[in-house]
Amino acid sequence: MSRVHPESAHGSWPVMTGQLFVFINRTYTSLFTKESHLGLTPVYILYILSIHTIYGRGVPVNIQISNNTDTPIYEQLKNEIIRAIMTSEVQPGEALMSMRALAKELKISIITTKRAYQDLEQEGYVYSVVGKGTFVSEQNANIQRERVLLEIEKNIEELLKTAHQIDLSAEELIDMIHVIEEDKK
Amino acid sequence: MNAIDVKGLHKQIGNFEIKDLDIEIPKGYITGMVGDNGAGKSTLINHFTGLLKADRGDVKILGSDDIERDRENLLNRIGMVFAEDNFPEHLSPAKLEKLLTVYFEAWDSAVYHKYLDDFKVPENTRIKKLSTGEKVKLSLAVALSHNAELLILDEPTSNLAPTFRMELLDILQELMINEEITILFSTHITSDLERIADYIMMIDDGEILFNMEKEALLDTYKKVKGPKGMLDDETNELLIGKRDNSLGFEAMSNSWDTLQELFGDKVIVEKLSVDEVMYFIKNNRRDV
Repeated sequence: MSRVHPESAHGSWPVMTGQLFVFINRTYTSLFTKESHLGLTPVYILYILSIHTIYGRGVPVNIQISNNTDTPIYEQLKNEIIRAIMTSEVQPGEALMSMRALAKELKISIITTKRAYQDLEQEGYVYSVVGKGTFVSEQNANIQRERVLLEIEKNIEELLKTAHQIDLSAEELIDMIHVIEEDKK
Repeated sequence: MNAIDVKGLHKQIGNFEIKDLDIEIPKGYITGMVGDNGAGKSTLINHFTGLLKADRGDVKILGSDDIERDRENLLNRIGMVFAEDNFPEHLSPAKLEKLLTVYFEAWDSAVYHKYLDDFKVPENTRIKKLSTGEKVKLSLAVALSHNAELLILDEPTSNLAPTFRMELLDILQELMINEEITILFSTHITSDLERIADYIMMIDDGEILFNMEKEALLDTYKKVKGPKGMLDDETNELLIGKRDNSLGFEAMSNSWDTLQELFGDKVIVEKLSVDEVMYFIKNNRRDV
């Protein structure tokens, strides 16, 4: 994804999907000139269905939060930010949006964002500087890979448990994975 | 740091009693106060704004422990919105401003006119002729226009159209970007709070049933459902406010994980809404 500073965003928004791009082109003028009246770093937001594309200090982060799942919102938020870090949407040293601004943009409570940020800090993904904000840490690639592998392992266990209910074999599962992957291409 | 600190507040009004309440409203966050009509929400709020005086106990607002003495200073720093406004009816919002500029030291005329414009409140119509919704919007505009640190909103949304309620929540969240601002929001429309409140305080019959972080509340307590005849005396103990129907039971529990371990797929665990929390807690009080 190309990295665009908000001020220069006109016309060169990173293409997400064709439709979205048209929508953005039509609406960006009004959205992108809207400044926070509190005089803080301008926040640029697009609110389309449940997809929030958030620009803070030129760092694009896609965050999707749903109210209709059992996963607590702070956990969803945390996972979304981890994903953004892993996929290098945000780079080490770059600032995340302030907790309060993020709470407002996502229409969730401040404590929820605070908790997600605290968890991320504890797990070493980000660090905070008093009075300055929260920044992405240098990531250790191996540790991250370990973490993701663990996560996948957990998911596979769940998957096997579910498959077991209808006596689906591991081979059949693997076939399904291939089919679904093909479909996605 | 707390914006409001209450210790041992006691007040008797006729048959109604506020019973030795301890309340902390943390600064920089939104606290939602929920409870049925007549639970004591407004009575409590009236103590915060100096309209009622406690029989005993301490009420500390924005660092001041003597509301009488610091009245002028405090009323400048507190923005208030009630479902019913008390502005002079014969004035128009524009004329009302002349009065308010005298009253509020930090009056911001530009902000006031911006909100009147945003809220589509006619500036030159007498308040008497405004609709109920417009009156609430006017009193919101006033509360938001004098740089208040503490906003006390008593049922502000009950007379507002749903679309404007959403707008109001946006405005409140925008204000909260400033860490110095505290909002106390009383309502019986709990969906408003589910979105933006950091803390939820429930009051019933003059007592505080709980005052805790909304996230923690909804993570700790879950709704559990199960078939008839599954529970014994011991597992029954794990449930709060249980109600039976022809097919099974429904209750709230903070030991939902234990129940899941014991009964596996037979028990269904779901997220609670704030309304449901209130419902089960009230059931529980009735059962005891």
